[in-house]
Amino acid sequence: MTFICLLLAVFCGLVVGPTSIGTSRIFGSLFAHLGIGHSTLDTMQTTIVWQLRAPRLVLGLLAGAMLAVAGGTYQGVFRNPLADPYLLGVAAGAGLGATFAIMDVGHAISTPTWTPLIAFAGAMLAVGCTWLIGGRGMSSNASTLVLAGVAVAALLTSAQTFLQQQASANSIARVYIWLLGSLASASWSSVNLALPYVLVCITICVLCGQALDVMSVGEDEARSLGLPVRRVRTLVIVASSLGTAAIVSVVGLIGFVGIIVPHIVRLVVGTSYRRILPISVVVGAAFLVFADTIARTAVSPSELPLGVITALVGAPVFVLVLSLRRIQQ
Amino acid sequence: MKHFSRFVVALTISALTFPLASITTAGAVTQSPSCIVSLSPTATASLYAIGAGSQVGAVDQDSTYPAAAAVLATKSKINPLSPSAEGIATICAGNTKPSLVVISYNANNIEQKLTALGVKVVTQLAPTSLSGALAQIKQLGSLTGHVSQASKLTASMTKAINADVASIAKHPTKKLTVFYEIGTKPYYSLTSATFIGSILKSLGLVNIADAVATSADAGYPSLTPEYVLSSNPKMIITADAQSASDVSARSGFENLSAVKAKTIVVLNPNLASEWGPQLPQLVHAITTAVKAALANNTLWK
Repeated sequence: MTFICLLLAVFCGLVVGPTSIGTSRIFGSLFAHLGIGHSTLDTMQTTIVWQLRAPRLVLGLLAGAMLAVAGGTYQGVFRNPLADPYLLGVAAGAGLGATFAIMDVGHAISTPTWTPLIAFAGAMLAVGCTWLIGGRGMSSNASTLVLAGVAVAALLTSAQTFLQQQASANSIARVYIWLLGSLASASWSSVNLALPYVLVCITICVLCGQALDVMSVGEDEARSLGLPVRRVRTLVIVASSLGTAAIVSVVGLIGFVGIIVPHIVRLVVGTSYRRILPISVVVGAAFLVFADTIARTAVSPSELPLGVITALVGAPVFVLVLSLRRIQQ
Repeated sequence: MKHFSRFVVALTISALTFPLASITTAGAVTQSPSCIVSLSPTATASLYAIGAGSQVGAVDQDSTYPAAAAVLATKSKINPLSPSAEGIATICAGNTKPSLVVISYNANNIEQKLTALGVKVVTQLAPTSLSGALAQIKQLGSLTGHVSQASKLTASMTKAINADVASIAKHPTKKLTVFYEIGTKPYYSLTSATFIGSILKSLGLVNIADAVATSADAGYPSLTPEYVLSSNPKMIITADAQSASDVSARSGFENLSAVKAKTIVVLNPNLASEWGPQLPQLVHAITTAVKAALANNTLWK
C-alpha cells in the first residue's frame, strides 16, 4: 500500500503540472532515457520534465524521506512523541547560516550560491553546541540533550533576529522566503549536494531500528541486555542531524513532515521502530511530493510555499492522530 | 505593509542580464516580441507608456498601472515573489512560451529556469540614479521595437523632473531635514545612496537616515523611534499607506517639528515604489511639499 502511494506520488511529480504533457509521452521519454524507444517530447517539454520536474521530484523524495525518518529516530531515541528533526537546533543553526549568507555579513561571502553550504555549517554547528552543552556528548542523557537543544535554538534564533534587524528590507524578504521552505529552486546540483548525506543517514537510521526498540524499554534495561546505549544514541543523533542539515540547507525549513509522518505510521504498523522507520521513509517521501504537487499547481502560474502546505495538512492530521490515540487508549 | 512588501520586491540584487541575441549590433530589433510577460510593476507601466501595451500578454499581481495592466494582472494571477517557471513558460495564448519576460526579482531562480526553457529574460533592478531609470525605459524600447517612443518618453520625463528641481530656490540657511518612511514597526527608511534618496538630495533635503547607514542595510536602514524623535525632522514623507493623522498620533511624535508644522507628506505607495513613467509625478509631489515647507513660518520661527 505504501509503495503504491509512493509510485502514485512519483507519477504525480512527473506528470502533473501547469503544462499539459501526455502521460504516455512522458513515460516514452523516461524509457528513451533507459535506451528503450524514442522520446516524442519537444525541446521545451523535455526541459520541463527533466530539468524542472524531475530534480524537484527527486529532491522532494529525499527531503520527505529524511525528515520523516529523522523525526522517527528522534522520537525513539529521546522517547518523546513531540520530538522532530529540528529538536537539537538544526533549524535555528541553518536559519542563522542562511541569514548570514544572504546578508553578506562582512562581505566575505558575496553570493547567495553559498547559502546551502553556510546553512549546512550553521546546522552542524548548532548540533555540535547542543552536544557539548548537553553533558559532553557521550556521557549525556536524553532529557539533558533536549534541554540543551532548546537553549541553543533560542540563542541562535536570537542571533538570527539580531542579524535581520541589521539587514536591508530586501535581505529580510529573501531570508523570509528561505525560511518558508520550497522545492521551487530545485536543480540537479542541489540533488547532488544532498544525495550522499541523505542516503547514508537514512540507511544508518533504518538499521538502528532494532536498537531503538530495545531502548524503548528504558536505557538501564537496554544496557543490561548488552546494548551500547550511548554509542547507539550518538550514531542515531549524528545521522539524523547530518541528514536533516543537508536537506534543510537546500530546501529551507519544512515543518510537520518529521513529526506527523512517524505518528501516522505508528498508528498503522504499531510501535516497533524496525517497521516505523523504513515505512516512514516511504510515506514521508510520498507525502512531501504530494504536498509539492499541490504547492506548484494550486495557484499556477505562482507557487505556494511548501511549508505552508505541509503545515496546513499536517496540523489537522496531527490533531486527528492525537484524537484517535485517545480513543484507542 | 502590503505596499512595503511590494517595495521590497522592487529592490533586487541579482545580476543584470541583457538578451543581446534579440538585438542587432545597431540596436534594431530583429523580431518584435509578440507576447511579453512583465513581473515588474515599473516595467509594466513603461511598456504601456512606450506603446508596447498590445504586446503584453501577462503581468504580475502588483502591476496595477495603467488600468489595462490591472485587468491583465487580475487575469494572470502571478505572484512575483513565488512565480512558477513552468506556468509562465506556457502562459501566452495557445499555451505558447513568451517571447520576452521582464523581471525585477529573481525569485525561485526564475531567470535561470526560464532561460533553460528557451525564454528570453531581462532583469531590471531598482536603479540607483535617474539615468539608470531612464536607461531601463530605453532598453525596453529597444527590445520591443518602440525606440522612438521610449526616447520621447525619457526626454519628457527628464524635462519635467529638471523643471521641478530648478523651481526650488536655494535655501542655504534653512536646513530642511526629512524622515522618509517606507515601512513601520520598525521604521524603515532610505538613505541618499538610493534612487529616491538621490532625488530628495537634489531637492535640497537633508536625510536623517544618512547618519545611521551601514553597509549591511544596503541603503535601507531601520530607525528606532528614539532616533526619529531625537532627529526632530522638519518633514516626514510616508510611502507606506499611512495617513498624516496616523503619523501624528504616534507616541512622542506630537513634539516633532514636522507634526507641529503639519509638513507630513503622504505619497501614493504605488507611485513611490516605481521608477517608471510616473516618476515625474512623484518628484512633483515632493517638490510641492518642499516648497510648502520652506514657506511654512511655523518651521522657521
